[in-house]
Amino acid sequence: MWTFFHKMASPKWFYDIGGKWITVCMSLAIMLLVAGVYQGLFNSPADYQQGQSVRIMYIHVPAAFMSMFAYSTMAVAAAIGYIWRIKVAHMVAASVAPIGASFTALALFTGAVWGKPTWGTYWVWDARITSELILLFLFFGFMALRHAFDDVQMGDRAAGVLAMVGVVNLPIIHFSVEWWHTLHQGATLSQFKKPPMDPQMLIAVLLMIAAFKLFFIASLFRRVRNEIVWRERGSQWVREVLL
Amino acid sequence: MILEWGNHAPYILMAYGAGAVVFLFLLLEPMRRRRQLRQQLQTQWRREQLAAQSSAVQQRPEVQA
Repeated sequence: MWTFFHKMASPKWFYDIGGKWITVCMSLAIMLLVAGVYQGLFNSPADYQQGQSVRIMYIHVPAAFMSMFAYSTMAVAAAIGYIWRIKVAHMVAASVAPIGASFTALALFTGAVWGKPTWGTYWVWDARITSELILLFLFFGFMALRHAFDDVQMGDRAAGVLAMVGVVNLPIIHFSVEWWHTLHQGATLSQFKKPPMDPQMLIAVLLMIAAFKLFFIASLFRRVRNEIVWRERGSQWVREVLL
Repeated sequence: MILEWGNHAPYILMAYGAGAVVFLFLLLEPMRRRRQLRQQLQTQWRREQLAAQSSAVQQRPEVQA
């Protein structure tokens, strides 16, 4: 177990292992994405209340789920980098931020587009939407803070602190629908209960969540490899890889 | 099939279009960055190599003298 963690701390090992996993994850992600989009757009029924607009759920829910997953990954990586001073962990945190910001922006946009036919408005300042918007600002803040320092390590540590502090926003996003009155419905997918939705809808949601997650992993490996090349550009092995 | 979506069709297409844009961005941007890094570093290393060679050539006559 510890040997594995020691290996992960090596930029060269992480670079090599990332290269192997990118193709596998990306191929699976594309296959699941095609299946999920087909299932969501053409094979699942309309909702009895929301009608056809429910199909937006198959993009919105995975995007919102991934925005929180990406932030958790970034915060854990930043904490590992901060506590054990592992360079690769900071590189992972730095690489997650733009992916997380993209998924958060997508969740907000698709939420707004779904809100118009369902609630009659694109935007309301309810707790779920506002805390998700704060999550987007946290990702932007992380990226801005990291680039605000000439010293890369100083930038990593400062941005790492922001990432760790921002974790407090995650339970707020998750429980906002229970803590405050909101237009949002409660959690539909739960580990412990049978989901109250049509099985065809459930298949579409699960396919899309799996596709988004695999795509996230493949994108993350791509970005971490670029970050490793840039930061380790003085190393002989990087020259050998690029020349 | 899209006709069945009625007046919800523009919203559905907008959401899936935005999804496609985000996925394409996440797919292509690291590839562009990789190409840029490769060019930038290769130029830098070539320059360093040339600088090292020229300083070696300049030092050689002094050694012989």
